[in-house]
This record gives sequence, structure tokens and C-alpha cells, in this order.
Amino acid sequence: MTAVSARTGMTLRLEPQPGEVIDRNRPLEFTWNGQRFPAYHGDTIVSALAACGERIFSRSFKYHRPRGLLSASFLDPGCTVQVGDEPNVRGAHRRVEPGMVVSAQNVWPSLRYDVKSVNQVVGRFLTAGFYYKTFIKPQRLWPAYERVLRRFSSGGVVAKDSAHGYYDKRYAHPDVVVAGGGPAGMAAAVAAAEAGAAVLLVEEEYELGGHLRWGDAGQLEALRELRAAVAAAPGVEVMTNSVVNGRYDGNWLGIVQRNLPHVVERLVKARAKTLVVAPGLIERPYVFEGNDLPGVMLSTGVRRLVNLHAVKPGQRAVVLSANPEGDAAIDDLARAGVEVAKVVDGRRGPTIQRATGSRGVQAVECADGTVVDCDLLVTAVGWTAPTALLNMAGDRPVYSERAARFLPSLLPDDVLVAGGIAGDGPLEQLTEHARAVGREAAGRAAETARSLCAGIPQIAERRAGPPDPEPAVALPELPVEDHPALFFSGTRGFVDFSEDVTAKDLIAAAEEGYDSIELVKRYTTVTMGPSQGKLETVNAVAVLAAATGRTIAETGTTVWRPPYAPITLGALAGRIFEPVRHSPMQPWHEAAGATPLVAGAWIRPDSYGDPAGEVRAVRSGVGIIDVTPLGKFDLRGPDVPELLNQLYVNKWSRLDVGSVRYGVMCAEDGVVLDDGVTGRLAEDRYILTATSSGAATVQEWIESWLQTERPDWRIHVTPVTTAYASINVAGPRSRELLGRLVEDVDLANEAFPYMRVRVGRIAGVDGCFMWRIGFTGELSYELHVPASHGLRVWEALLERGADLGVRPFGVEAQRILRLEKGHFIVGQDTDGLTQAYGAGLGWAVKLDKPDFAGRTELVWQSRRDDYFRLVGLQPVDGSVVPPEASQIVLGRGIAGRITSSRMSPTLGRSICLGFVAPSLTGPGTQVTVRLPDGGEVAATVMPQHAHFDPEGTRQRG
Amino acid sequence: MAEAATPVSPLAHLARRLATAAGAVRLREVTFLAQVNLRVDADGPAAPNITRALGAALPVAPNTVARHRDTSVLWLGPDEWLVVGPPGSQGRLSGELRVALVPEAGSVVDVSAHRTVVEIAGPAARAVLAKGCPLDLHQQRFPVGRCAQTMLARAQVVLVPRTAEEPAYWVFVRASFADYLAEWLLDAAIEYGPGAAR
Repeated sequence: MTAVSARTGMTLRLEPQPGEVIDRNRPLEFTWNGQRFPAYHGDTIVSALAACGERIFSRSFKYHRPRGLLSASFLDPGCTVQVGDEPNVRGAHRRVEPGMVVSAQNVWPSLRYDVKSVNQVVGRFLTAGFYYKTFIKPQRLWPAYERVLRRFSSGGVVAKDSAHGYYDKRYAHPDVVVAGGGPAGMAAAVAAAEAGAAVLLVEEEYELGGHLRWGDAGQLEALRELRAAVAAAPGVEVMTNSVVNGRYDGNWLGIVQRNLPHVVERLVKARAKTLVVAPGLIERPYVFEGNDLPGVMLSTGVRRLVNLHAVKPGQRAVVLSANPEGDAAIDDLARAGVEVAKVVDGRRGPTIQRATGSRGVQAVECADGTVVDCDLLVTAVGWTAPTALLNMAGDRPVYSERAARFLPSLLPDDVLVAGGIAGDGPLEQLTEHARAVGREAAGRAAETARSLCAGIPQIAERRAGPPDPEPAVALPELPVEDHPALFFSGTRGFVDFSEDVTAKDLIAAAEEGYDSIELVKRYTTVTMGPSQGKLETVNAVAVLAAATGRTIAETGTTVWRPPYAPITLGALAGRIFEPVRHSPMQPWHEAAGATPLVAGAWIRPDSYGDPAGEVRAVRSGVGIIDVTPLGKFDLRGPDVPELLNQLYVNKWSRLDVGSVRYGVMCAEDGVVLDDGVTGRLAEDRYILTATSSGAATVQEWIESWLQTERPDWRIHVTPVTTAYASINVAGPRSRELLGRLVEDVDLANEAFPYMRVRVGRIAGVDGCFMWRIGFTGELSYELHVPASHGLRVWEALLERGADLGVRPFGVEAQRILRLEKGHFIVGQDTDGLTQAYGAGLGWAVKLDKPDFAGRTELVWQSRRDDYFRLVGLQPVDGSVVPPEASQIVLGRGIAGRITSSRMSPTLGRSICLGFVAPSLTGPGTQVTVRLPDGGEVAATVMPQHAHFDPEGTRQRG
Repeated sequence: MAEAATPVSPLAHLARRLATAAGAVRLREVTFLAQVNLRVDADGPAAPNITRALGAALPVAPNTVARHRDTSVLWLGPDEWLVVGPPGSQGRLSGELRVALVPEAGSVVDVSAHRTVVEIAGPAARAVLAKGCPLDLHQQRFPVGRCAQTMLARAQVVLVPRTAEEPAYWVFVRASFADYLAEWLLDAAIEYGPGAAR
């Protein structure tokens, strides 16, 4: 959208105000709905627009009523806007920046003339529970409903290609977190820091100070002193424009930090020893007919606008004041040149009846019947204590009739309160109380630190936290001042501006039987909008109480849960990193253009472009594959054979030095857990290998046996997976190639036969071991070289074998090779129910061993024949490769599945492994394989798993 | 064929980029340290021999480090230690420890290539580690002389504070995770780097 015209200027900007936060020396421009607007640094988006005379900033959620400024704060429900491709920006909080592109959300075709405001006319169909009543049945129409509702929802637009900003996370371990940086929060933070605590002071606004910022000269002076004290206090970290968003067990706090120059948002996960909740009080809107018209404002909103942003909020005002804040707003208005046409004192009885006007307030009808023309109606009818963090700490605040607000009741020891949420009083009394709270918080944090560090050497004797607390002094009591109970003036008006819920909706819900505030909340969605009840909850309770003939105390309040303020997905996601593992040869693979394969955490070469060619190279010449992810464990101790006998189903008592044996591990239920080879390198040294994906499980399994079942065995296991780079050299010419690199090992078949291990020097690298095994079915050697030499040995193999046609091969070629050879893969060709006999491992299971893991179950299985078995399969039409997981069907039932299938370059036909029902296991049996597209192909059960060289002559050659 | 093989460290390909983190955080790989995993009963018959071989008694307090000259001994478990020495000393260390171990069925395994070490130093080192490590690394809680096996950015690491003067840590990380962790650290350090406008 291009800017079409510059506005005339900031016609409602006041003379400089003592507490203003705008910098008049730094003007800037931004656009709003395509038009250019001037502003000053320090303006919020909405204060800048208001200074230019704009009064409508959004259309409401359901009825698309025009909405303007209410609280001029983060919570302001009518000021949610789109900034660039960022939706749902709080326009009355976010500071405007040069060139910012701001537009209204939830409008069509424009903010001024919005078609969907027709909803107001049909509003009687959109009353309480309208979702439930209208859109539930018939269910088949829900997709259609969803499309309609989406068009009418108030969210902004997220561009699919918007860049991911630098969102971040971190942990923190402060002694004391103070949530709220008003006068009480600042005083508590300073006192806690002076008592030796490391303090984190978190404030939602851009500056510390709370209501002092829009106060008189005396309050501004107090603000300066408090800010100076915070700056001077040792060990106070201040986070402005940040919010404590949740409190969990053990004072685990989620804090969203937004005051960083290079980070959009940072989620701070803090374990605070004590939490001081000092959020101040939130001014409550008044419920009356027309209370959502642009021009109806809270007294604090007016005071912010005038004093912080020097904006004249209107021309002619009516003020309903029931407290000193309202009275101060009258003074502010007079100073700003606003004509105060009438003051209604809420402390003296009837108030106002309704506000009228079409696109903003034009007149106010008072309870005494007078009608006053005005464009601004200011209400100051009382306060809501934002007890959300206290709720999350288990507190159930109680209603004080005297103060007309909820007060904390029972707090855990690690949560304290200060400021307006705790009680009333003059500034000095509140800050004095807060200082005592801060000292107490530091003391309790020190006690916690001591108990945590007790018993840890080197730390216990040090000062591990704040110094010892001074003798406990009871916290001073704060008084609670009288406040009239003013919530609504009739049965009309909006209770929830974000969700467009009116008093009538709540009354209707009560009449329908929803008499609990928790039920009314869910039924009407009151308090469920972006401001999360901070403006609405108590009014909703008051309306429901009146509708059900109960008191507010009897009605109770809803439970506030995290998050305290809406949180972005970016903050929850943080920087996008996923742990991945690389072998030392990875840079080579990348340079060679290998297709990466994600195998668990490992990134491996799937192929180097031509898996079939790689297979042929291995079958006809020699190939090398990086098998570093193979799990490797160094086993030492005289009782290692005992362990191996226990872990594997086959026999291990006589494994000579220099020998390697294949083994299968089962869990206690006889299900195949892992397989691999173990070799004995020296009298007291064994290397056990596990599958790449099973290595972690196998380590836990081994340690579980050693630590809990057989602590008497003298065995030590050291994981060495990444200490060695592993390379399999496979193919008929592998011996020839290796002969050029191995110095001190005789590779002749008689000297180094199949299933043997040798230790030696490869390509000048000492400390290597190699074993002759054959996953591919070819003559092959698996080399294990110290990891820091892996790349060199890999390169040497390729260099020295160039004339032999050596090729690197990837996981895909290896999978084809092993399938040709009929070797199963645990987890691919077995699942969580596959016991050893079903996988065709009966040859390995030695039931004559007195014990091994899984034996009891396998004894049972050996006596049955009702289990599915893994068999080799070949489609009759060798050109068809049934996809893995294709079903094998018999009549109308499922009689198995394909577990592995590939086109074999060696045989020139498709080959499979699969599970089949007991009746289909006979060699030559024809089975029916159902393909995903519904077609069927016939396949023949083979006499053995191996499709190629079943006798195994090639690997023994 | 007898040419001496030159090892390649797991982060050799990132050395230049690690050197670019030169602001409030400095990163470098400490290459080829000798690392020997020792399993033995600290109260058993071999312990006095091991103390003699290492020049220092095995630290028995959890998560502590004993140092003697250029060798550090990190407590990893009630019967497990990581002996860290200068590059090339793994043969000597393993040999001496194996001899010392003779009366007992312990284990001495050379794991020098199993992990590499990333050194992270500078005023913001702790802030960078705090992005991915849930432990409180404040020097009062985690002073020189301690070590910790923990998770950093969801990778297993062993952390060792190096100096009391300024925050400096050795991060022992498995070779396979080193590339990932180094990239994570480089990204985490961006806001403290020389490129970040202050």
C-alpha cells in the first residue's frame, strides 16, 4: 500500500507537558491505512493518530462497531492494529517508528464504512452462546460455518512469507523477581537488592514508574528519586516492555522480554526464589448503554494521553468520578483546554444513563435526566486488582465490599504482594510497605538459597545468595480505603469490549441457567478476549451477581491462568535449532553433493546421486560407506561374557580374542530390541556395537542390568560411538584396496578370516580396529579409526582405490544391498510386537542357556506356531515394487505386510521382506499384496530371506 | 605409507567463523586435548596408585575438579572420572593409569576423539550459555573447581569454568554434536558480537 496523502498535522497536540514521554526534537512519519501521519519519537501508534484527530482505530469483534481509545494502555481493547506483516499489535502500547506501516484489522472495505456493521442490526442472532446454538448442527456443515466465521474473526493477517525474526530464550536464576515497576515495585526491588538479593524487575510499560508518570509535580519528583534509587541499587536487572506471563510450581516464571535492541522477543525462563507481585491496579470500565462509543474513556486513559503524550482527548467532556484519580483527570482536562461541561460525582448516588452518538459520543444522558452535548465521557468508577499471578500461585482472592475490589487472601511463602494489589494508602505508606516486602523477599530468598546449597561442597561455606536475613519483622499492614461499588447503571452496555459481550448477554445466560461465573465465561466468552479479563472480570461478576440475586462475594471470580498477556508463537518457538549429529566425514559428503538423510539425530548421506550404480560398484568392485553412527561401547572387566550372555539370545561364553560375533538382543517380552556385532579386541577389552538408532536404548539397557540387576558384575562400559569414525569397505576388491593402507595386519583370508577382528594401523593412523563382517553380503571390512582421523582415512581410501573404481555409497545403496542379502533391520522389518522367532531368528536363540533377557517369553513362543513370520518375498511381476507397508491380504482379512521392498540392480527384479500369517510361510506360497492404489499383485514366498548369494560364499571369500 | 597422519578436529571447518565471535563473547575450539575415561572404586586398592600417577587425589565430591599441573580430573560419577591432559598425552596417561589400576577391575579408555572442547569466554559468556543451559552458572554457584554434566541447547555437554577473573568456560561436547553446537553458539552470540550495533 502506498501512502496517498500527508495529514495536515498534529492539531490536538498540547503544549509540552512536564511528564511527557515524546521527544519533540525527533519527529517522524508513518502510515495508517495508506495515509501518511506525523508523530514524535515516544508516541504510541494510537497517541500519534489521536494527536491528528483520529478517533476510530478498530471495528469490534462481532458487531463491527467503531471503537476508539479506552485505557490508552496495552490492554486497550479497541486499539489492536496490524503493523506490516505483524498482526494484533497493541496500538495503544506499541511505540510508533519511522516508516511504520499500520492498518486497521477486521474491517472491510474500510474502517470508516464497514459492511459487517450490519451485524449490529442482526445482533439479536449473535447473543450469548451464539456459536453453540447456531453452528453446532448439522455437523456436516461445520466446514462451511468455519469459512464464514473466519471471515468475521478479528485477527490480523500473517503473511506466509514473512521473515522469522530473532526470537530467543534464556534461563535465569534471580533471587527475587518483582512483577511490576510502579512505585511499589521499584521500592521493593531496591530494598531487596540492598539486602543483597539479585533482583529482576519486570515492567510492562516502556519505563518504570506506573501511575507516577502521569502524576503531579510532587509525584514526578518521587518518580525521579525512585528511578535513581533503582539505577543505583546493586544487582537490579530491569526489564521494561516485558511481562511476567506465568507463574508455575516452585516460582518457575515465564517472562516475555521485549526491550532488547537485537532480539524481537525473548522468553526468559526464570526460577525465582521469591516473587513480589506489584502490578498496581487496573481501572475498571463502567457498564452503561453506549459505553463502547469512541470518546468514552477511562480516567487513567485520559491522564496518560494528556500527560505522557500531550494529546488533547476531546473538546467538551462529561466526567463521572468516584475517586481521586477521576478528580485528577478533571484537573488534567482543564489544563489541556477541554471544556468540562458536567461532573457527575459517583460517590453521591445516581450516575449516568447512556451515551449516544453514531461514530462517537455526541451526548450523555445523566441519571438526573439532564442531557449534555459532549464528545468525551470520562469514567472513574473503581479498580480491578490484577491477581492473575496470585491465582497461578494457588491464591483465591476474596472480594472486599468496602474497597469494591478483590484482595489477596492466602499466599505461598515464596510469593508476596506490594502496592495497590495489597492495599491502599498514600504514596509514602505504600512505598514503605513495599520496602518491607522487598527486604522480606530477600530474606526468604536467602533461606531458600541456603537450603538448596546445603551439602554442596565449595558452595555451602560461601555466600550462595543474599546475606542472612535480619530477624523477622512482621510486614506492616496496609489499610483498605472505602470505594463506592459502581459497576453498571442498567442492563445495557458492553461488559467485554474484545469479545463484544453485553450485560444483556450475561443476563440471558443467567436466565438460561448458567448461574456460575465459570460457566457464563465459557458460554458467552466473556473475559476470554485479548485482555484476558483484566478489564472485564469484575464487571461480569457484578452483572451475574445482580442477575442471580447474589452478592459479588457469593458469586466469586474466575480463575486467572497463564498467559497473563497474549504471547507470540515466535517467543514460544525461540531460535530455530534442532540438534543434529555429523560424522567427521560430513564436510566431504556435503562437498560431494550427497543427498542428506535424517536418521534420528544423525544427518547421513542417503546417496551420492546414483544408488543403483553404488550397489553395482559394491557387487563388482569396491565401495565405502560412512557408518559412524553405529553405536559403539567399550566393555572392560572379567565378567563381560556374563553380561553378553544375559543381553543376547545367543551364546557368548567362548569368544576368543580376535573374534567377532553377531548377536540379537531381546527385551524381557521377547521382542527384538537391537542387533549388532561384538568383538573381543584383547583379553580384557570388548567392543559392542548397536544399531545407529538403538544406541541410546542399548546403553540404558546395559546400565540398567549393571546398576540394578547385577551390581556384583565387575564390568565397566564406556560409550565410544563418536570416539571412532567408522567406515565399511565392501566389495570383492576390498581386500586389495585395504592392503594398500593397512600396515601391520595380514589380510590374507587364512590370517584374517570372516568374523574376526584385528587391531592395527590404517593410512598411518594408529589405534584402529577392523572387523570382517558382511551386512552387504560382500567381502567387507568395517574400519574403526580415531574420529579425528576419519576424514583422512576416508580420503585415503578413495585416493588409493581410484584405479580399483572405488565409490562411496550411501544409506540407500546399503539398504538395497542388505535387502538383496536378506538382512533385516530392527525397527524396519520388526516392530514392537516382533519376538525373535517371528523375525526368523530361531537359529540364534539358545534356550539351553540358563537365562537371558527375554528367555521366558521365547520359551513360550518356541512352543507355538501361531505367529506371523518374516519371509523373503518376490513379486511375480518383477517390475513391480510394492511400497513398504503394503498389506498382504487373504480373502477379506489382512495376512501380513511388506516391511522392505526395493528394485534389485543385481537381480534386475523387485525383492521384498515381509510378514506373513503362519499359513502362508511355506516356500513357494503365492500371496496377494494390496497396493495403496487398491490394485493387487501376486508375490511368492521364498525359501530364505536372502535373495542373493544365500550360501554366503561371497562374504567369506 | 609411514607418513605421520594429521588429525582433523571436529570444528576445524568452523575455525574462521568461530574467530569472528570477538565481541563480548569469544569462541574457539580447544583441539586434541587428551581425554581418558577412568572407572575405579575411589576407596579401592588402586586409589593410592592413581593418586600417585595423577599427582592429585581423585575428587570424590560430586561435580568437582582436581588439578595437578597440566592435568585436570573431572568427577563424572561416584566411580567415574574424566582425566584431561594436554594434546598427545593420552598414551602416557592411559598407560600410567592402567598400571595404577592393576589391583582392580576398573577401566581406562582413551576417549580423546570422543569429545572436543569449545571455549567460550568474555563478559557475555554466561549470558550466551544461559540461552541453552538450565543450570545457574553464576560464579558464586559455579566457581572454578566445579564441573557439570548438563544439557546445552539440548546437546549433552560437560561444563568447566576456567578462570575466576572473567567468565570463561570449557564446553566438552561429543564430536558428532560439535558442529551443531558451534552453530548454535555462533547464533546465540550474535547480539553480543562486534557486528551488533550497541
